[in-house]
Amino acid sequence: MSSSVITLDSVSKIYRPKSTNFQTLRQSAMAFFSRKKVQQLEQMGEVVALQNVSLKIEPGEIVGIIGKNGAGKSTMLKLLSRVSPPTEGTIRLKGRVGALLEVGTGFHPELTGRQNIFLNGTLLGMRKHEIQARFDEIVDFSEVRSFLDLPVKFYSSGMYMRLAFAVAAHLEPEILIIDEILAVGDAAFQQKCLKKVKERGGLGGTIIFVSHNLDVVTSLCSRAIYLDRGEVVADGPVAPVVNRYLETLEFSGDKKLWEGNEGDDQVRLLRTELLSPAEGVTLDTADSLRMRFEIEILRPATGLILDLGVYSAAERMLAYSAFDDREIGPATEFEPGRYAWDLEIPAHTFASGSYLFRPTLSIANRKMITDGLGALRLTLVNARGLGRRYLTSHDGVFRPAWSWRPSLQPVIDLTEKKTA
Amino acid sequence: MDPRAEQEIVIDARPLSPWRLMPDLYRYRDLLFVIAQREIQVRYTQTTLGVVWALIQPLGNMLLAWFVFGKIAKLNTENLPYPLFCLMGTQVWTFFSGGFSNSSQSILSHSNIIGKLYFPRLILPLGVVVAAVMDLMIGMAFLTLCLLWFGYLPTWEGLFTLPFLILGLVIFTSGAGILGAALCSRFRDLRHVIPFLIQIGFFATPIVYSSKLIPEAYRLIFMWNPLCGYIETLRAIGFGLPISWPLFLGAFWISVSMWTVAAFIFQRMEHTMADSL
Repeated sequence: MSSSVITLDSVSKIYRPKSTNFQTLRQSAMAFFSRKKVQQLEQMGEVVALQNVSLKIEPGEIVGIIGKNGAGKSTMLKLLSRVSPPTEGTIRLKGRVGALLEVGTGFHPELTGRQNIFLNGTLLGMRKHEIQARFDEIVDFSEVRSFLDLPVKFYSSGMYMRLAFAVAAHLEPEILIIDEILAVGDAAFQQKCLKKVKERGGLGGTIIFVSHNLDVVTSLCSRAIYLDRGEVVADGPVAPVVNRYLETLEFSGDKKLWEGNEGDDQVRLLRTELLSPAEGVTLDTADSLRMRFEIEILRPATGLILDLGVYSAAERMLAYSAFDDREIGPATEFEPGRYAWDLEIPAHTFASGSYLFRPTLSIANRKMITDGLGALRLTLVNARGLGRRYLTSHDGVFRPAWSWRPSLQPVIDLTEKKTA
Repeated sequence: MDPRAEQEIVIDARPLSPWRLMPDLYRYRDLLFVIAQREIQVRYTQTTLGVVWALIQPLGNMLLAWFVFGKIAKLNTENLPYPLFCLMGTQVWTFFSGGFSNSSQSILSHSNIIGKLYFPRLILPLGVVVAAVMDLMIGMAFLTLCLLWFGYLPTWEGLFTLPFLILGLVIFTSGAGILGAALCSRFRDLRHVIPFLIQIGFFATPIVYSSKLIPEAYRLIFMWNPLCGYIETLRAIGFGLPISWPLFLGAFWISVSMWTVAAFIFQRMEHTMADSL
């Protein structure tokens, strides 16, 4: 018998599309009379979420699962947390499993914070007396003590998240499965959560962790598993696996033009485009980037915001710029029609690397129109930019042309002093 | 090391076997009561009348039936006071119909949790029925007061039988609820059938009438409905009349068998519930 806490033995998961997955009574009755018809139904449009995955995880390992959207990460967590069974293969788990696939699952808005701690805790598999014993710790961690007897529907979303994470963080199973939830609350609280998770790791608990934030994965995990289209592409110490993943992200190619028609009945995003440098030219950090966003307004819109977020290849947000947050006073009202909004990013802004420019359209304090659609991906090289004399390379993402004013003559002449 | 840590969980495409499910049910036993407590809290907090609502529904049903069947149709109840006679029926019926319809919906209405967390799904319909037991107890206490007020004293035999009657009723209701919950999660159409079934049940059960009024030819069919046995037994206990043991034990037996079959079907479907919701 092996010492592994988690063993996956050629595990596959196949999803059938909803329409055939939950059958109606009529379909079941049909199936009873003619087997053939239902088999036909089942064969169309299967989705293979995980394919023939075998791996072992030892006690005390902190494993990060990385991969693009749809690579099978969430499916993997669902299988490990026993929410959903594999279609083929066997999973063996040793010890209690605690899964946090979502923060605050099972919270009831009408119940008070206190009542929800017990409800959520027992749903996560804790016994009542265990919760009782850790009650004060949970409440202190969540920082919501004075609101404890108020229904959680009156909580701010931050308070809600803090309470939910606090309950989950005090669950102490042998295997803890976490999905992206460290992205809750403010930065200070996130640090607190990370610390809590690290502490657990130190105690020999096994943690399986999914995150888009590769920085968190790198700092937290000892091992990473890179999934692509349901298969394990790389598995091993965290740094090489993350690098391998990053490479594929960069090789996925530049995207200098997006055309579509997304949005709502008021504002639509039609096109995002890199105007210059011209097509066919390698993008250089020495050139300014000019982008154009084409927008169609169907009904008059006031307070329209176009927010451009810049992300690293690891999908970490680096910078953002919004139209029009330079001005104060009433916002412009845009009449129906087509608009082209241009943006210029000065030369010598970014270091060489691959960046994602993701626009978000919204109306201030009212609604989100498009979120991240129409993103451009650009890879910049530094052939003509700054730093050509010594060709040094750093990890930074910005390489701004900040002004140095060195004194070329000494301010205090040491040679004179010595002789004096 | 915690002995539970040594326990190995094996997950594959097959449903969890009953002897795998049992330790899980035991481990999550607190959840059952927390779910029941939540049902009660959510139902009665922030309502002005609170728990009094537990009495209003059977009483309302009783008053309606008293007027329609006692005053207009003038049903024969063999000299027993019709309001009391009827209240016993509506008490049992309110528990059953409420418990059954709520637990049938329990899987569908918790689909968000089921997709995110593992716990024995059986706890959801069971917890809902446990919550309904509280209402039943309040109703029973009220019924006892009414009976004493009218001068009916129960026999020892009756007092001894009452807990078993309640147990049987709870088993039958949760059995129906478990079956309903499992089937509703797979066959969405059934959700609309259940209110209709409950409506048929109200008339097919001797709630507003005595089972003695059922023609001999149909009586055997009615007796397959355990609620019929429970209501008649409750009336016998309440009015201090002799209990029909074959009727009561038959109802109990049907309830237990039905629960077993329902739990078996539920357990076969539990495995893939998260994917089909």
